[in-house]
Amino acid sequence: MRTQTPPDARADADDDVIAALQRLDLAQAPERDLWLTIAPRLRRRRSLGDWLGYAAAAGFAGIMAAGIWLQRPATEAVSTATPAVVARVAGVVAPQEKALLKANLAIVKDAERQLRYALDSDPESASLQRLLASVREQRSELHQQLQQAI
Amino acid sequence: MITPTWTSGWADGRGTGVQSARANEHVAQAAQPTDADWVRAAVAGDAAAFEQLYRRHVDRVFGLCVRLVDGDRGKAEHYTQDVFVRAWEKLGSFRGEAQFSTWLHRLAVNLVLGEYRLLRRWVSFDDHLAEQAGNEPGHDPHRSSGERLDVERALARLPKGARAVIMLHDVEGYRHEEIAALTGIAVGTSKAQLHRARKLMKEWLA
Repeated sequence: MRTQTPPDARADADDDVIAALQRLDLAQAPERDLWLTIAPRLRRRRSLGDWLGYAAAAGFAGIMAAGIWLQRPATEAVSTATPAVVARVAGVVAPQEKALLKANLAIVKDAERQLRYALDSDPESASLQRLLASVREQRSELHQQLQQAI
Repeated sequence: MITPTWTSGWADGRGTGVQSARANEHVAQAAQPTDADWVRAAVAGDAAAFEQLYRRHVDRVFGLCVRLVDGDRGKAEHYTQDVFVRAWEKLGSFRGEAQFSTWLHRLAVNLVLGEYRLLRRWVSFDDHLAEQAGNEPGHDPHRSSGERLDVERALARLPKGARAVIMLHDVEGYRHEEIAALTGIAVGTSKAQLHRARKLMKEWLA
């Protein structure tokens, strides 16, 4: 038959257990140096310079793409356009404009690559994801323009 | 690379004899970078500063992991590495309101018991076994009657769920509500596991 333990005695016994646990040395050294496997897993922390680099790359690509877009003749201007512009609207594009489109495409691709690299370090970054989406859109527009030009 | 900077008011060399020796001790103590110094440098990207934090805290984190994963040192090594990698990633969110060691231990508990929902599984498993055996929880058929254990062995012998809860509550200082929030078990379950763990420990240590 079990005997009833008085509440005070129970509390004292609890205190003994707690005190015994708190006296335990909880530190234990691992058998090997875990830092050797931890260090390669630490991603490089972004500096402000990195961020500015990514932003500049994306921004510059955007400006260049916008510049190309603005150079396109407006459709309402066709009636008064020179024969060269008429020819361009008809699908014939000057070689220097094609070269400019290709150069812009290369810049946008580079910006996209850098943004992907930045996202590898910080996959959750909403601002980097937005920048990447914007750069992809620019790349797609430039591809279309280039295809029209060929 | 950014290295922590610290200053000491004792560095002017004044004082003689015992006073001077004490002053030198103070200088030595004051010259030791604190966790906060290393954290600031590590947040700025200094991996060497983070290594200093690792060296200071690895034994305590590993010891905690060993106890949380039922003494499996291989698993504990794996979790310890994950804890420090996660700490590096989240260091920017450490505001310094608590001690770095407290923040790091919380991260370890969350990773081992919370993220993998281990405690929830253990607690259900323990309860299931207890029901099957028809015994009161924690009955150990392999233990000869009257055997007295030391604290370490008694702790190791506890069922996993009960051990995790007593470690968190009585050693790490968590409240039941915190244990529940971190690991996904109910507050009542945490209390029941603690009661069971203390009862068994008392029996075994008596």
